Amino acid sequence: MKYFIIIIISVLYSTDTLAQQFMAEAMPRQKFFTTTLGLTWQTRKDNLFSPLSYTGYGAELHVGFERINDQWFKQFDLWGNVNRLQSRIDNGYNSLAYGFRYGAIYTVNKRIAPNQSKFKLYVGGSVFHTSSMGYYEGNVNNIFSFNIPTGIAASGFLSRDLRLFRRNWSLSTQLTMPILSYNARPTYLGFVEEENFLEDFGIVSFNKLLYFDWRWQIDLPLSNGNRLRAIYRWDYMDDRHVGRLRVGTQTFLIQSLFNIPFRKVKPENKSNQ
Amino acid sequence: MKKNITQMIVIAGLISLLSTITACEKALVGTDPKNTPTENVRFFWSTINEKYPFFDYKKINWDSIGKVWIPRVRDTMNDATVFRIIDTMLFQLKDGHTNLFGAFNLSRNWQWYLDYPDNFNAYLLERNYLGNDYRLTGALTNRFLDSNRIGYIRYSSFSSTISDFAIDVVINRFQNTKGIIIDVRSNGGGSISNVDKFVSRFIDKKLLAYKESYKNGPGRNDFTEAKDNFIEPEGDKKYLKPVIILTNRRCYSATTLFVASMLNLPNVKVIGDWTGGGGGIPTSTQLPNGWTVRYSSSVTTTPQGFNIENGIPPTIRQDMTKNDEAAGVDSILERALKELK
Repeated sequence: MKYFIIIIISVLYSTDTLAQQFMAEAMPRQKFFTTTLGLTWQTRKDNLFSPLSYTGYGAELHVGFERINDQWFKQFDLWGNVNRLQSRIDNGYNSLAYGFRYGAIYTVNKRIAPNQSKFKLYVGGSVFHTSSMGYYEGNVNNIFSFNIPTGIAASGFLSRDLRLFRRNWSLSTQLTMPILSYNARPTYLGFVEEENFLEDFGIVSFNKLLYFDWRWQIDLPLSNGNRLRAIYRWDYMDDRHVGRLRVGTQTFLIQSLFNIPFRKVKPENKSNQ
Repeated sequence: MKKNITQMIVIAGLISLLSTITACEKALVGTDPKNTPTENVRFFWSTINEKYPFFDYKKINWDSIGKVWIPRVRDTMNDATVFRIIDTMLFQLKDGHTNLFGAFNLSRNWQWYLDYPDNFNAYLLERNYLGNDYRLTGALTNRFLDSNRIGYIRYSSFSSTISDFAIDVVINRFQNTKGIIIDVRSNGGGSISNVDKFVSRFIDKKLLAYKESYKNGPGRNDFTEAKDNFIEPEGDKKYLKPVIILTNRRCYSATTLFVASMLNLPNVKVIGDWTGGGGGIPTSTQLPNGWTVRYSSSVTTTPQGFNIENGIPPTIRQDMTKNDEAAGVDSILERALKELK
């Protein structure tokens, strides 16, 4: 853990010498429509279904919007991924599973660091609904693993502009962790029972559900106001509500941010400039 | 120069971050249990110990079985020997829903019918009773018997889906009969939704068909409360006249559930042998070596509380006699015809 914190601090502070004058200036309002595509590496282990962990590759897709200015960071992200998973034991018989994840999250963060700071820190909350599902080919009757949390989360967004390879970039990290969520899991036996599906719902918090979505991203602003963003995302879930489900997904994503002009900007003003 | 160094630090830092996260994830997910013969047998014993529901009902001392077999396991044993040990332990559960699936074998205990007379002869039935004058309406083989006075329906597997259309056609066809014989002998079970669909044409009001409780924890008495399972009437026409169901020991799982549901009706009789049972809905888990173990995980009773795991007794006990069979006569079917005349 110590090593982990040292790395994060060193990455952020090493950008200090690259800080540019424009960073201290007031940030313009920006609004983007985002589309994202990437590759995933998922590890899944659900004790209700198998003591074995399953790992494999997949693809992930996002759409959403993002709005950022001096005071606020707002983001809506709708995403999903599909992964073909294989257990460590490949006996050519029942070692396959499929992992599906989807989520919708709306985040509102308020900037707390002073405007003069080189770091822009926003903190706030999110409303989220997500699901992690697995289909276990080798099982009988109890083949469908899932957890479906819906709730509120604490979230933070830290960004830092920098100059790298003679271009202006923006490096940022974003973390989301649920505080309270309403969760659905299969029964103790791993069944999905229509009648008792709702009975499996329950309020969970950190002791029952550890979940976080952590993103590291680097933005390349383009001349037309759009942006290109590379994202490394680590999404991890440890659900002890019924049995124990652990799902970790690491994703490399390329995101296109299409600038949406604000209506208030009139063409005459532009010509006056 | 300083700028280049810093750029290198940023890139190296991000790569380090990635490798650290990967290591963290591995630590968080944890390692898989050891894939050794000892660990596989222990894991298997423990899973059954926590999830199998019939130890008390069948008076099985699982602790004792574990004490006998687990110490015999050696990590030098090959897969075939480990499979045989688990198979031997599973066999003592006397449960047709309990299997070990390995890539090279499937363990089973089919004594629920092997120890009993077959009481069904498909060859005889086809040649001496069905002939060529029968219909195949979806999964339902059906024809008139006794000069069109009695309807005969054979349903050989609840795994074969019966459509609403098919069942309605057959029920409509037999509306003017005195009674129907439903032959589910040697029907090893299948989907419960087919049971509900079939029963729904023989009731005119909501039927409390059976009760179910599931294991919901590792303790021997950790069960959900018994849940009432109702079947609603469906279809344009119902059949409410006398119905006789033919059974043998090969009637298992969903078929036993069908018989249990139908016996709640006053116009229904069962002729033949006990059904094979199989009242627990099977569930499964994998072992550390990737084999899958399947086991019963629920208890089903009639509304009156009779546990159907070991089968349901017939209303009228009738075996197929060797003399009848040699003479081309289906003793059980003949007894049903006699009852309906």
